[in-house]
Amino acid sequence: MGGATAVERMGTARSQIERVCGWLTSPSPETLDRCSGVLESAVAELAGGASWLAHARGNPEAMAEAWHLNRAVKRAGKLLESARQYHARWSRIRGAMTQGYGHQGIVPPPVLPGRISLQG
Amino acid sequence: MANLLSTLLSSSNALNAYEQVLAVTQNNVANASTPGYAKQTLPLEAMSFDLVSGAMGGVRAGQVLSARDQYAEQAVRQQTSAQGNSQQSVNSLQSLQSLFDVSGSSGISAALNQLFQSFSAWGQSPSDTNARQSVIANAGELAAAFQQTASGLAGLEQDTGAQLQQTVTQVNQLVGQLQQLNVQRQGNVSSDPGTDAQMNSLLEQLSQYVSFTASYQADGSVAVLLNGQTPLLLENSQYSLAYQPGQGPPAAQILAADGADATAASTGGQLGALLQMRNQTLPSYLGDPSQPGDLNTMAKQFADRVNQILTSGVAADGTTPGAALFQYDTTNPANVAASLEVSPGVTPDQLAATDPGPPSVSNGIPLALSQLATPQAAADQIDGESFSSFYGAMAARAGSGFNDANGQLQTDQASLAQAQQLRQQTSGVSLDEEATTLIQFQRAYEANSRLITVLDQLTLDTINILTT
Repeated sequence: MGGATAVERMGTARSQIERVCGWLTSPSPETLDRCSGVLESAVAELAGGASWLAHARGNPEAMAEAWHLNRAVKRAGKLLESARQYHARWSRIRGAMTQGYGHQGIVPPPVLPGRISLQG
Repeated sequence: MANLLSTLLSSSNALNAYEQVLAVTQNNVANASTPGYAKQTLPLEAMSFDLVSGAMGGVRAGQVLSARDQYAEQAVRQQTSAQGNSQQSVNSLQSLQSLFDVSGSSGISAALNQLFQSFSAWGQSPSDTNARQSVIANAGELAAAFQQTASGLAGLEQDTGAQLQQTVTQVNQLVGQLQQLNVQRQGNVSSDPGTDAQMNSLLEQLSQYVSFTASYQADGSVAVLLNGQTPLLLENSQYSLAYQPGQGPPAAQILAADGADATAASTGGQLGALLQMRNQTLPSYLGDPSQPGDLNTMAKQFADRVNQILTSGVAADGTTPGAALFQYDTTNPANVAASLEVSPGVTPDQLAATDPGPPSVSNGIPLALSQLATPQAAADQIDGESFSSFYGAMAARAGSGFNDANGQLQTDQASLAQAQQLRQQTSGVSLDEEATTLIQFQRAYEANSRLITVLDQLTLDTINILTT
């Protein structure tokens, strides 16, 4: 009984994280906002596990689900990191292309160009 | 009058500009389903407005720019290469895993258990001819299982070699097609969407097989370097790779056009995975001139220990020494498992059961052989563990390698889809819009990253609680 509850909880968290993985394949500021909400739900699902996990000790099904869950989290982390790196690297290249290299080769961050110009 | 002419000129420029925009849009629509085609954009530039100097403002068409961002293309190629590598690893390790049955129902594991049981049965009736005959028959089964596994691994080596040759041929063919495009493009610097599309499509196909860097030259050609080191294509010249099988190590080499060893540079894509399989994974089981391989180590140590125990015994007459049960090719440490067999002509009578001691024990030899199943003495162990555990570890290595490769493949597939989406997203986005989005992204990444870190720790805690 306790094992089933643990498996169900972990399964719920995993499906949430897999949903996040799906969104992260097409990352945009909007999808990342949605990801935060779902990841928070997954954290809430798993928090306080010491009480409900104790009943599932030695349960092979729970153990397998825990590893699946861990893999899903790692995959989400990898996707988030690769998207972050993609934008960070491009941002650096863009900064270097538009503003050159600064002191000790440091690339300045890209500047948001002004859109309105007023003349007297 | 001057102002009227300026206004008309401005209108004429604007009409020309919009006409060109329309042409570019039509081109985009016509090539929407062309593989590797990059959407083209025509930026409109504002012209200066100064009534004093007669500049009437308006817009004009800037240089036609390919929306294909080289950075995004490179990211897609990197992920394609990673996915090609993990897909090949999954395929190869699946074949390897199938050679090792850990369920105990077939193969070496089952044969080993059967032989241990027959040693035990012989210990209970040391003078029983049937019990001895059963030992010989089960020893034959175990030798056959070693031979079968070794033969399967050797077949896998051959298949991997053939796949390496095919992959190198495929790489050379794709680079050859790129070289033809370089010839067409040289001197024709203006962008040709059709050629661009072909070139990008070929580069993407190539990235599945190898990891490389591609850079566009001033003359419009593309330069391709294997892992950024070994030239495959420079201007109009192709530098073909060659596959060279050997006895090893390494068992497989990739040679550059000048004959230099490019194996170390061939780490990504399918080629990298095949080289890893042929040069690292398979020799760890089946050996090469520098190592015997775990399967041969196990076959040799088991056969030697069984023979040592049997030949230390004596027959019931108290004088005739026992015969060795196994034999194998002693000239090649990497050929032990493939050549392992029951010594020809060995009969039940030649299996000596009595340990001469002192004190003499009538069933001492089969008891000593039974101890191999749960060994206490170092002489009965292999690398500090039982033969069954050693085999289990070998099989588990193949299994966990396959599982890891599967997990990696799932991640790489998602990463490739992500890189393709990011390429699509950046296409046609203005730099102003992009800069704003980058700042929004940065904030969102940080928030999500913290949550992922918490989740990672929570899942590790979960695993710890379940295992303790």
